[in-house]
Amino acid sequence: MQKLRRVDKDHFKELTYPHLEFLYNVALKYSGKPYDAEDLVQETMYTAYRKFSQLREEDKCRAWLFMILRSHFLKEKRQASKRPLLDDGEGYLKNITSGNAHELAETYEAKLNKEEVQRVLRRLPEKFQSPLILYYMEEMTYQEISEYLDIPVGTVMSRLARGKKHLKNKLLRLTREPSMVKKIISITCLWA
Amino acid sequence: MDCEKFSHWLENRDNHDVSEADQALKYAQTCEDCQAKLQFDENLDKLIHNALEREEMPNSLAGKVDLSLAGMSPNRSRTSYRWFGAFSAMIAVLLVFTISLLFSPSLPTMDELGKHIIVNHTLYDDSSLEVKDFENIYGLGELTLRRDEIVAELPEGLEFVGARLCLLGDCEPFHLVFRQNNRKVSVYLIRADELGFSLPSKGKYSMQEGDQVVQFWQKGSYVFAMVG
Repeated sequence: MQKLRRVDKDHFKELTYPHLEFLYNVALKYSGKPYDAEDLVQETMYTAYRKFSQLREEDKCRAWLFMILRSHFLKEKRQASKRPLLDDGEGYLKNITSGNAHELAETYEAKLNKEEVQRVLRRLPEKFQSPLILYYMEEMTYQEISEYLDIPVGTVMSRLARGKKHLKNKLLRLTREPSMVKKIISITCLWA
Repeated sequence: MDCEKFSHWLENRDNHDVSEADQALKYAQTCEDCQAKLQFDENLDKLIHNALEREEMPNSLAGKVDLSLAGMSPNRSRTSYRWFGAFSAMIAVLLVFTISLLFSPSLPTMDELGKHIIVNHTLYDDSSLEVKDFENIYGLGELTLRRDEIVAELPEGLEFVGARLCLLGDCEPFHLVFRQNNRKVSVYLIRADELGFSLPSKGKYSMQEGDQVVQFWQKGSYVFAMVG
């Protein structure tokens, strides 16, 4: 029996550990905090090990682990308050012309850093977040995303289109806000 | 294909048939603005892609997973399973509790919100207001207050300049800009459930920073904040 367990664990590690980095990165995009991401991965691996016998197709191990991680994330997220999505992100390109495109692109490149993009992503509903993470981070095809999320390809396409519009619209809106540096200077001045 | 159809295709690329891409890209070559939109969108896409790239996993993570699996087996006897079940349930409850606290959005206090509002009001450039007509504010997003309900809350003599959605910390309020005697007045309509404080339905509260005063009051499910 001991020997059998040992083999199970070795086999489990052999199959799952190569995907730890992928899991950590998805968890990091979901939570935004390295420690929370590590917790999520540990919970995922704990559950995966307990349910290892339920993994039928070994070549789908990564998708199976992703489903477990996502399910843990959703359970936790249900506890947090839900924010309404105020608009559908339509028309984010409507004011872009050949005359201002270059200048606007320079503005967003200067203002948007990795943290800002990830913060805006985390504010989207999970149904847009997950396809966007798999699309941008893993460069998955519609078909692969459909398998990972267990939804039809058409739904993936529509969620990606809507998710991108929300994300881009919010990012462009963010670039129109006064910059963080200015905010800090101004707060200091007001307090002085 | 025309400019409008091209923009629609560009903003909904994932939803369109691949065959439309050729047609759209050919059209972009004939129109400078559409070409600029395409370039702009592709750059923005690249920026998002770079921001969401994989990062290095902490070296200690595999070790931590090892530790949490130590002594566990997928094929446990009934007795050990019971023990483990109780223990893992306790851990899970603790984890869910801790993580739900961490995941809860940090709702701003009146003080924090007031500071955000003063900065936003002082530094925001009115030139990029999204709507210039009061009626159109409903096109910006979901707003459950009627126009007459909003107007009834505002002092007389305010001349509407425009509106937009803005970001104050983690809140996304409506920002309405008015003029009164050549002075800019900003009114923010914030969903009460996005805030970390509540106000009684009657009465106004003021907060002062330097020479700026922000007034807060509540109407239905919205908190009004006025400055200027």
